[in-house]
Amino acid sequence: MKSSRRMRGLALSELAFIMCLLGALALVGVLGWMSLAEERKTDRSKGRAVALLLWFDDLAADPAKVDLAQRDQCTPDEVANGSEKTWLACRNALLAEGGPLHGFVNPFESEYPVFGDKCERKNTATRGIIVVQESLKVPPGQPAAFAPMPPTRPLEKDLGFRVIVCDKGSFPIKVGESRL
Amino acid sequence: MSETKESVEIATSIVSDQLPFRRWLYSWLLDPNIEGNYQKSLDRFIALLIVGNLFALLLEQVPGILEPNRHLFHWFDIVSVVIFTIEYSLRLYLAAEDREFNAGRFPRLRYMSSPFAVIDLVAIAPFYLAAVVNVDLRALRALRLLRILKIFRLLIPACKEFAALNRGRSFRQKVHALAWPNQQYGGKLQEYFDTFIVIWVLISVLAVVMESVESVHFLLNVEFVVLDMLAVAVFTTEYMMRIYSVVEGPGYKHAVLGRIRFAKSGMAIVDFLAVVPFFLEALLHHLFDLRFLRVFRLLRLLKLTRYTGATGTLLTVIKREWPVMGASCFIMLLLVVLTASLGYLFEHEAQPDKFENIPTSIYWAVITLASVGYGDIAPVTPAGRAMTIVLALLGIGIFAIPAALLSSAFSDQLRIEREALQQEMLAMMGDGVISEEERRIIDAEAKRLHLSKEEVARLLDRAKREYEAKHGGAPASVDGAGMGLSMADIVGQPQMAAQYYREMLARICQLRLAVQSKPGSELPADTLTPLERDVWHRISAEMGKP
Repeated sequence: MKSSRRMRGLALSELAFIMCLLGALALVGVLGWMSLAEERKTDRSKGRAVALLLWFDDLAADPAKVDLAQRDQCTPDEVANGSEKTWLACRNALLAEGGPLHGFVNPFESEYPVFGDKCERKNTATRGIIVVQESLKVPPGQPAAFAPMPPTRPLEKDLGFRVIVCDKGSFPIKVGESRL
Repeated sequence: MSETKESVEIATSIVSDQLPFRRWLYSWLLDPNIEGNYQKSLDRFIALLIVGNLFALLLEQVPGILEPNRHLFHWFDIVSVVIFTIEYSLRLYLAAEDREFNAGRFPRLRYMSSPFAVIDLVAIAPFYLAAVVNVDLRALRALRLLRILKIFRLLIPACKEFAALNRGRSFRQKVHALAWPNQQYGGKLQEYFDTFIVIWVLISVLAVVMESVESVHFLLNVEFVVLDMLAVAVFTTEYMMRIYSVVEGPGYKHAVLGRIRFAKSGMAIVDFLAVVPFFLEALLHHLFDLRFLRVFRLLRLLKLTRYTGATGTLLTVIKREWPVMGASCFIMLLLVVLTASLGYLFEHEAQPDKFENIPTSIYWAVITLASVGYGDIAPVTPAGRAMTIVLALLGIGIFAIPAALLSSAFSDQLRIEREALQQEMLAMMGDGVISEEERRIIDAEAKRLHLSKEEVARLLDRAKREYEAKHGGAPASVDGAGMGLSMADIVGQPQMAAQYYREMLARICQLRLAVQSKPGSELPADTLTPLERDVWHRISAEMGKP
């Protein structure tokens, strides 16, 4: 009787334990793999956001290093009545050929936008987006404040901004700050 | 520092200075049969260095960590190779003293061709190879992974020992022996299992702490996910092993009820909470904001309480003193509510925004009574200030009561447990001898009670005196020494040492005669070490002579 309940030297209860253990480990592996895949997607957005910041740093330090088309669209005009170049034009230039974001699609879903105004927890379409926020003027001693950069915002000399990426749960991850 | 000094004294006292240098060095550093030498410490150090190398290898894969610390990694690599080379040379030099290799000719050659020595060589060879041959650095890094193989030097003997200890036992009993502290069947493998879990607890808690640092998380978010996945795999395996095998332990015998009983215990709940946030977050993060669950991963730290008796003692103390502590807490509560009400009464009109209601005033009362005094809410009326003076003075006394109660009860509990240990020692000495098994129990209990070797010796001495007072003579053997004296005392008096030696020899001869006179009662040779077997055969041979 006892031998009938054994399989290759293992009792059925022992086999059941081993199967349960393997099942649990497989579940950990699958869930971990899914988390990892999503984290990698966030990483891709972060990588592009870092590239964007480095590009702006290059633009400020040595404009000759960047492509002419993008430089033209993202460098503010030094005119008294304000620049006519807008953030939308610069953004489109950044996504165009030769720009730091050329060929970049939202890693979570190619139909999702690349840029957005803010990370919204309930809006899954904001996952993986890059948010550029302009720096607001605050009284001395107050913490820095930022607001979403509207597409129609004219580019100004020394305009401070920060770049944020929305992660897999649409939570913001601060990438860094730069200045035009 | 004192511990190091103590261990030096022990090591030198058990390894005679009269031995030839090579023999002495072997006995001191590598002989696994000498209790108290540095063999275990050396093994532990090498194991830690191997783990360190593994982590260095993993961290080097992250450019954000490698680039700023390249020289540190380089030096760590050099230091590791130097240590591994010294270890290899030492083992090669001392192979002539190792019983495993010195039985035939060319012991060093025999050592060099042994699997462990090959692993040791493979672990360091790539480093030296790179110095003479132009090797691709990436290939060199990959070859460094071979150092991990050195861990088998520890694991294989431990596995063999575990298999020998558990021969003929069921699969579940083996799982139990591995997952639960078990002096009889666990062996070294069980110790390694515990160490492995402790290392993972520390790594995962460190990862949770470091994850909260924005810049670190930004760089290592993927690595943290992998680390958490591995930690959960380890802890899930451990949890399932415990649930499965707990029925082998006393008090949990029933297949279903025993497991449920265990699952409801504090430690099992801690084990469960250590893994459950991972599953919940992975499955439900689309539906709910479950980031707060990540903090629960810090509960893994509580898993360490399994490996220390301090928490158990503290819980016993709290249980024992609960009525007194409850009374003290009640007085505290009374005082807080009363003070908050008075504070509200005196200050509400003057500062309606700060003393808005009684619950707000409770915050001020607690902060003042506990002598914290943040200063964000302070009384301004004369009556309020006068009350605060009384309150602050009262607070010092009232809030100190539970702390003092706990502290005195804790030391009281330790005293009780030490007395219990002494009683246990006395009981063990009932047959006049403290066996090795009993010695192990004493050591384990002493470790739990954080007793130093001197304190254990003192307790043993006291138990010995009580035994003498009861039985009117010295026990036959205590802690390996005879005639009620310590080994140091005996060695200090040559006449007594000779007498002690004669007595021991006479006992062995008596045993030999007893064994000879009773057919079928031969000593089980497989349980003896080669040295013990050799001595037994020699004495038998001598006694057999006319």
